[in-house]
Amino acid sequence: MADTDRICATNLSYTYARRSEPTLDKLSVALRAGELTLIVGRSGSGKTTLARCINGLIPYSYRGGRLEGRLSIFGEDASALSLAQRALRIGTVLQDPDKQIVATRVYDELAFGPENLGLPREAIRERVNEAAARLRIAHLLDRETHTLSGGELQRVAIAGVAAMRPRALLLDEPLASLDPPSAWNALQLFRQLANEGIGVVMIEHRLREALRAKPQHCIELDRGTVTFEGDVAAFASRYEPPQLPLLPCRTTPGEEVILEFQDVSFRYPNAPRQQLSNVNLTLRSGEVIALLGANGAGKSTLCRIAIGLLRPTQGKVCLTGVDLRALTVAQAARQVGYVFQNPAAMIFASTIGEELSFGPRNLGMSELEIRKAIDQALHTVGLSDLSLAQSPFGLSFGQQKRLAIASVLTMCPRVLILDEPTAGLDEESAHAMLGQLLTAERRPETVVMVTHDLRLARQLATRVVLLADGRVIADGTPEVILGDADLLARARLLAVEDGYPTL
Amino acid sequence: MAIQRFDPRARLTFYACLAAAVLIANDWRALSGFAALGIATFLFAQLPWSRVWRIWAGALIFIAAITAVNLLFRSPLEAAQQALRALAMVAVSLAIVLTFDPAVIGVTFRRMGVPDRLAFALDLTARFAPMLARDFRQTVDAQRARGYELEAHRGDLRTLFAVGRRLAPLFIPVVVRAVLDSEDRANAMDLRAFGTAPRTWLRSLHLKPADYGLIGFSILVLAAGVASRLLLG
Repeated sequence: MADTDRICATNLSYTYARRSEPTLDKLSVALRAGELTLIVGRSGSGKTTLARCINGLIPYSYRGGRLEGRLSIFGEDASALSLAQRALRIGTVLQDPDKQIVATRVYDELAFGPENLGLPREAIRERVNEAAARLRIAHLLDRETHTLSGGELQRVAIAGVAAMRPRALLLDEPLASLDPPSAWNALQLFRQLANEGIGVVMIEHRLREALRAKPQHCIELDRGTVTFEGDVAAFASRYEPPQLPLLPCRTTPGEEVILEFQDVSFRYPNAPRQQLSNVNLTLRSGEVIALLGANGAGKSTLCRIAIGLLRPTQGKVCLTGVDLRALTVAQAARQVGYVFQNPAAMIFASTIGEELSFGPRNLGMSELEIRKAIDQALHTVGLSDLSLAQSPFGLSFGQQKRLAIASVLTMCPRVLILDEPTAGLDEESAHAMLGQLLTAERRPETVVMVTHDLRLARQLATRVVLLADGRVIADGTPEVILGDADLLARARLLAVEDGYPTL
Repeated sequence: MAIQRFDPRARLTFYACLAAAVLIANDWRALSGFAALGIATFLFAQLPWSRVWRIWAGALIFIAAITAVNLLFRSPLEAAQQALRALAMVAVSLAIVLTFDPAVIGVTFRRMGVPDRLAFALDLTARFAPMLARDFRQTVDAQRARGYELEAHRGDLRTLFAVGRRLAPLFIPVVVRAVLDSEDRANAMDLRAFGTAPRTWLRSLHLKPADYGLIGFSILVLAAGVASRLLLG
């Protein structure tokens, strides 16, 4: 294949500013047009850094680092192309879709790229409608982007780039926040685009799902070097899904009611429909609850109501018997810890130490207690090797996610709500972290995990709550709920390959 | 007919003319008329009261304070004129600014003859402002969820001042975050080929007879302001 049909990295090395070890170490890969390439590797293996080198964020946005080696983009020397010029050739979907959105309305967001290409208006409209249809987001076109759920935002971000029809598409964890049917739709689109001659490069942790897109080319990275490169058959033969053991001891739910939702409904101002309708839930001590639902089902809204960041438009929430309306968010946070879906929303301090001590300091914990809580939290999330003096902004997305969890764990909450705890983490690390968290000596009494990962729910939860269109449609044991395929299909949690072609 | 139905260029012209007339006029009768026109424009905007009452409350407190100071140094008539001027400006500004769709700012100025680059800059500002506001809210929410007390008890002014004081330490990290976020947004725009070629503005604007009527009326308002200054002093 000619160089004009490939993106070629030759002996590519990159060392971030103020780091001594290179994140990419003499890496050589070729990504071909018309092929779907899957790049895998554990958190911190250099996948996102490679993507940044290709799309130009390195060196244009990450200054002070050292970039060596050669990179050519469809026959052109990458160093001669500006960030925006590279964007004409390579469309990028960032790991954090929130940072990708530039317009206030979904339609404008999808039109933004084609507008920049200077296309005629009719062609822009055609592309917007086509991208919306392919990602099944036509119903979102009139919505304001800030009202979208994480998964909806992800689909909008993908559609916005697909509408530009670049020669190559670089996707950094495009499935991270998607429910299984949406993930399947996205994978079908990626496959289709590759068949149409576009080079699709997908970095993904959700391997089982990613392999369904039938990538022709798989690359595995470890510590910045290529440890495997070959076709999907060779990759699949060496890929062993991690064994996820059940928790050593599943706790029995206690009698004490910690959090209670009484007939809770919620509607955002000016929203066409209710985000939550008549939700009744009782959370008891000792429970590990998996809150499942499709994108936009109302899971994150429910979590925000649980800590008082949103107030129900109807009904009430009681925290250990006290109406949450009588408490400020800060008072509720003494008992309820909430880890946001997007770690970037939480991280704000200049050092990891300050970030971790912010919560416990607000609660009035002593310095000794804070120190102990920090050590425990870092151990739980597997970040013990980080220096407390380090800036949290230089961490990878997965590391930031774990840091955000640790920063809430240091507050020792009775109830811990984790919104998509596994996004940005490889399956093994995610399971190890959650297993550690749920078996720790000073673990939260009640844990709520918002997730689309049915396997994780089956392995770790003692109770499953299914949300669909803002309503609780099922609440019971994982064995009963996750064994009911019809129910999961109603909640849009099964993809077409699971036997539900109508989804 | 809500003011939003007019073409944004007509609305901006009206805003500019009324604002200029208010600044030029100095007679209480003319200023009363302009204040009434400003309030009528605000009412035509049909903004939900829940969205604007805080802004109105702040503006009225500000106007009252300015009037009180003016009464100390100027005649009651002059103080009233200043109050009417401020009232007219607040009413028309709220009506125009809060009904302006950020998505049409770029194309509006481009079609008003502003050069492409400047229209881009205004468009960028319009895109960034709501996002920065949202990011700020998110950061503050995240810190509240980690036990940082930022809520005032209803009507308790001492708590309100305490909230102000407690917001201060968050200011620098929030600004740093805003700077980092705006860099991310700028990168996101570059990654979508922003600025590489002459841009197509998807939205097209067409002036209708009603828009020409509003532009004509705006010129009359400006003329009335000038006339009042010349004839009434």
